[in-house]
Amino acid sequence: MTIRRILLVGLCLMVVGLVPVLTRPPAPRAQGVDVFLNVTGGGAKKLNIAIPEFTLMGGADSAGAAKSLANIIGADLNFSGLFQVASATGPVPRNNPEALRKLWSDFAAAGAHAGLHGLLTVRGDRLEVEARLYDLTSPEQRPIAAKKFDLSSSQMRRLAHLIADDVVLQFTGQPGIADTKLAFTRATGGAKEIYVADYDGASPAPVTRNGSVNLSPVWSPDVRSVAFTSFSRGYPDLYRAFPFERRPEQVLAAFAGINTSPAFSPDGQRVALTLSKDGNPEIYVLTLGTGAFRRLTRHPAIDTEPNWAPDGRQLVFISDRGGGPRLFVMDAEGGNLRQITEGNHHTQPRWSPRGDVIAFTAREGGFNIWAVNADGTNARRLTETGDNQSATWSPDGRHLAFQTSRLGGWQIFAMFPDGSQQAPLIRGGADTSPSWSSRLP
Amino acid sequence: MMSPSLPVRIGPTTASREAAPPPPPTPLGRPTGVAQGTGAAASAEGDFPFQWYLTAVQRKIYEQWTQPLGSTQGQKTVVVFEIARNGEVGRARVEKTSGDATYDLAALRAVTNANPLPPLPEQFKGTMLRVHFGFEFTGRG
Repeated sequence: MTIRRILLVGLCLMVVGLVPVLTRPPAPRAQGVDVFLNVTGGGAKKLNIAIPEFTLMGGADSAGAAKSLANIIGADLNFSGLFQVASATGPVPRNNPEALRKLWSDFAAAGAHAGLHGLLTVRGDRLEVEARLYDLTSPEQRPIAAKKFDLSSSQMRRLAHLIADDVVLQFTGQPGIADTKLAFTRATGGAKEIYVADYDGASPAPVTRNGSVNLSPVWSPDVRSVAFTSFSRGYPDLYRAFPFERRPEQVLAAFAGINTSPAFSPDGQRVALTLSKDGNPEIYVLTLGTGAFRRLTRHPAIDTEPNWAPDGRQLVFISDRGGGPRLFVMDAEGGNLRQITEGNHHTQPRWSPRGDVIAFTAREGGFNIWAVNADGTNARRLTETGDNQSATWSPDGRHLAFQTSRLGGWQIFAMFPDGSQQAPLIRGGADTSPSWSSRLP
Repeated sequence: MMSPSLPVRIGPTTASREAAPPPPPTPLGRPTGVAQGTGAAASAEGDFPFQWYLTAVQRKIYEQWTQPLGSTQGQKTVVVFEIARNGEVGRARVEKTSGDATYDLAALRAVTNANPLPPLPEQFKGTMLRVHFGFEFTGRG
């Protein structure tokens, strides 16, 4: 090729190359363009809620319910870990929307996100409350919800718990756990009796009075009965008591050997338990309706402490078939058995109602509460001060109660499932073995 | 605070699927907007090279987002919506659910409460911008 031709070709190429630039057709009318954005937030900020004293609308409040209700609700919401409660002294004057609006404005200016206003009427021996929830982040203080409650005045604490649980429901979609009970063992005068109290420790009352050793209470899911082991007849037998009904105790199992470690299935129809009647401790399931026992484990090792998964399809239990006692899981018929913890001396497994985590006690010198994922991963210690045992889950899986010796003697404490906020739950006793009930029906 | 103030629908609806414009034949904008850590982060490339606009959108929606109490770590909802040329937000719906209706609703509300967003950049020639917006909870519920 001559240079001229090269140049000519080059020029043509240039022109060809330029043509698209010079005579480019109008850009096609673009439709939508897709972009992908993301935000992350670890907010977990507590909701600031203002709870002034309730307003007395009618009747005489000699018991100071208007103040007590607000205080108990505040304590419940603080305990939940979801709220920061601000209170106010002095009630909201009744039938005075201006005063209410000003009160809410003052609270909103102080950072409150929500306000709860209770209207109380005392009618004879009944307390009627209308609980009104307001959104204080909206400029017009928009009402969120209003609900009426009506209980006898002897149930004032329960009334407060019901209102608190409803506030939690409004903000999380799930009711709170203030309307629940704890069963536990209390040492009293040389004996150990089963007691029941409100979840916050109020109104403890004995369930057994046999002067013997009564241990390891567990609630039935309908909160009507408590199963426990008792030596009242001289041998470790399993009983069921009905704390809220005039109904005699039932014997669940009184075979030769030990009868212990009861655990109700989530549907309340069955009780898993440990019997040694066939030679060594094995796990059985008792069907309450028929009284039939079905044996689940068959192994010369000790198999004990069964506890149900929330879907009722599996059980976690303790076996020393591999050496020291460790956690195992099996299905509800006893099949598909697998070990889920390594290490040594693990006891008292408790499956979270959320299904994802199992709490248990580990002995390494002293005793401590641990948690492990249900698939066996991420075993982690939750406590470290004193000896800590016998964990039980709140029904929403947001709290654990357990026994601790850190203050000298045994006491029942509560904490969050990551081990934070460990604080006393039941005061003033020598208390062990807590069992946290479902929400009262 | 959690009660909805606007009528919103959660979940994909057939109507909005059918009415969505067909994708253009050229490759769409590649995924943008990578969030690391707390807060909002965006990066623009491809067919929508307007970083400043995406950041403004992210910030406005993030400010409207009230993470529901009781959220659990790792929860994530993706809301898809369209921004018209004048900044009006339309067709907001949950594209990928977190599995928790309360959490989904709070994400959807963050988008609808951010309406109107800033008008689309003048240099952008499209008729609308479709945003796939993820809301991820990283704290302790």
